[in-house]
Order: sequence, then structure tokens, then C-alpha cells
Amino acid sequence: MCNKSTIQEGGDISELDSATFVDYSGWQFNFYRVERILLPEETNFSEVVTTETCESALSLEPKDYEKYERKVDNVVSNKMIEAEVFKYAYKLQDMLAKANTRLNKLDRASADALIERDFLKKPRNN
Amino acid sequence: MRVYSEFLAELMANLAEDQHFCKKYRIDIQAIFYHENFFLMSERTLRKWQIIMRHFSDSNEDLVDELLLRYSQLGGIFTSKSSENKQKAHTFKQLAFVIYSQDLKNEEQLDNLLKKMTEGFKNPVKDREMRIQLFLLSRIIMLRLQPDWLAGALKKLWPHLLAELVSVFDVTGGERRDYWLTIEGIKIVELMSQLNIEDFQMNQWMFLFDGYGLDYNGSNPFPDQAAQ
Repeated sequence: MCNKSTIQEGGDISELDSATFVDYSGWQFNFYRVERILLPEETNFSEVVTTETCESALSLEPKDYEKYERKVDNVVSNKMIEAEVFKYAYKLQDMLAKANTRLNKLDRASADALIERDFLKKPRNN
Repeated sequence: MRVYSEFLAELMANLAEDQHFCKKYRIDIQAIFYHENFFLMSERTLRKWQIIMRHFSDSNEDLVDELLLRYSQLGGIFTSKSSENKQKAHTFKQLAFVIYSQDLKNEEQLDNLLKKMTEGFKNPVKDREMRIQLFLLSRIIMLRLQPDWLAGALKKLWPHLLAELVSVFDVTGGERRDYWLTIEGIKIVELMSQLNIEDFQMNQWMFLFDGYGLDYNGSNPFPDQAAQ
């Protein structure tokens, strides 16, 4: 139901033509987990399992790595693990941004071909 | 017959490169283009006619104005409303084809065109073919206009286009969904999201489901519905 990687579906990002992408390097996407949701799902054997997902929000702001090196809300955590997690998150966000840009890039030839087919359609009056 | 018409269209497309040809056979080219069965042709012939109309527009810069005038003169006491709408839809299709083949010549033409499109969107009699052709024309405008012209044009067009899209997608309980119109509406939404049009971005939440990290299977309910 959830947690399926967009990257796996989209193929190997390193193979994509980086010259066609918008440069997102100075920006970061923040992914806020707003609320935890547990979804009960019935399996083939009528056994109920719970899948965890979350309501979320996204924001875009200038990248500031140092901001996350400070201690937040007095929560004691392992700085090394936290740094690795953020490093991974930044990398993932950049990859997603690139993948999204690629998906959003207009394919003019296909758009024109679609219009040509529309011209040849018979009128569909009421 | 099909091969014959493709051959003739190709011959005309080659001859039309010469401006004198377009001027000499202006009335004949117009007669073919204005014929009600003009669009009954193959894809290959359509591409050749795109070339013909591009050259023809070069030698006849008032073609868009002529079509707009024809649009204004449609209807009358002895014409039924449905017949008038059918003719108007066909004129919008002809306009769409001219703009698709050749860019608009000046901003005045664009303004006049947008006025007619706005009239079409506001038409209280919701004719399906007219709405389909207005959607097609809107897509061509988005693809063909320069960015600064497009920004200005959308300021006038977007409120009406948005209202039309909402009326197409938002089907109330007793009504039946018109799938042909819905497909045309989806094409507009797809194009506007691909072109990153600012006016659309502000309202895109109305049309697009943001499924970050979710593997949505159409047979299952959306996550928030399942959680309730």
C-alpha cells in the first residue's frame, strides 16, 4: 500500500540526462510527517495486518545543512546517525526532484501528435 | 481515393512554397479549407495541409480575422440554435488548425480570438462539440504562443477555462458523466501541469491527487477514506 520507492519504479536515475534537469542543488524539500495513520488491511487468509502511513506536507526552502546539526527540542540523539539520515534524505530529495522534473518536461512531439489526432476525430455533437 | 488525396495534398504543399501560387489560387484553397468535410482526411494529408495553410497564411495575413468575422456572422432568424452551435464549433476547429499551422500575427488578433473563446465558454447552451473544440483551441494556444503573450492571454482565458473544467469534472448525483468531455479536460490538465503554468499551479490541487510515496491501486479506496 505504501512505502514503495518512486526511484525503483522510475528506473536508474544515474542513467538520466542530467543536462535536461533544473538545478535543485541550492534548495531542499522538507517532508513533514503531520499525522501517523494506521491502515488495517485484510490479507488473503482473512488475517488483518496494519500498514503504517502518514499524512504529510512538503515545503521548499534554500538548503541549509548546518541547521540540522543543532540539537532540536532537547531530544538527545546520535549525531552521527542523524547526519547520515539527513544526508540520505537530501540525496533522495534531489533524486526525486530530478525525476519529477523529467516527468514534467513537455514532450512537444507527443503533444502535437495528440492534437493532430484530435483534428481528425468526427464531431461529437449532443 | 486516399492515396489520390494524399498525392494532391503533397503536390499542393510543394507548390504553395511559391507565394504566387497561394495568391493565384486563394479562392480555391479557401473553398477547400472552409468545406464542412475538410477534416475528413488521413493524418498524412493533415500534415501536408498544415504546410499549405502555413504558406497560405503568409500570403493572407487576415485569415484569422476572416474566420473570426465568419464566426460573428453565424446564426440568424432561420437557423436553429443547434445548427448555429455546430457551425461555431467547426469555425473554432478551423481557427485552431490555422493557429496550429502558423503562429498568430499580432496581439490584436489574439485579443479578438480570446473574446470569441470567452463568448463560447459563457454560452448558456452547453454544446459538447463546441466545448471540445474550445478545449482543443486552448491547448494549441498554450503550445504555440510565446511565453509573454501566453501569460497575458491566460489572464483573460483562465477564469473561464477553470470554470469549464470544474463543470466538466464536477458531476453531481443525478447527472451522467460525459466521458468524451472528461478526456478533453484531462488533456488540458496534463498539458498545463507539464508547462508549469502559474495560474494552473495555484489551482492544481483541485485536479491532481498528490500521492507522495503511495502506491495507489485504482481498485482500493484512497488512504484517507480507508482510515475512516
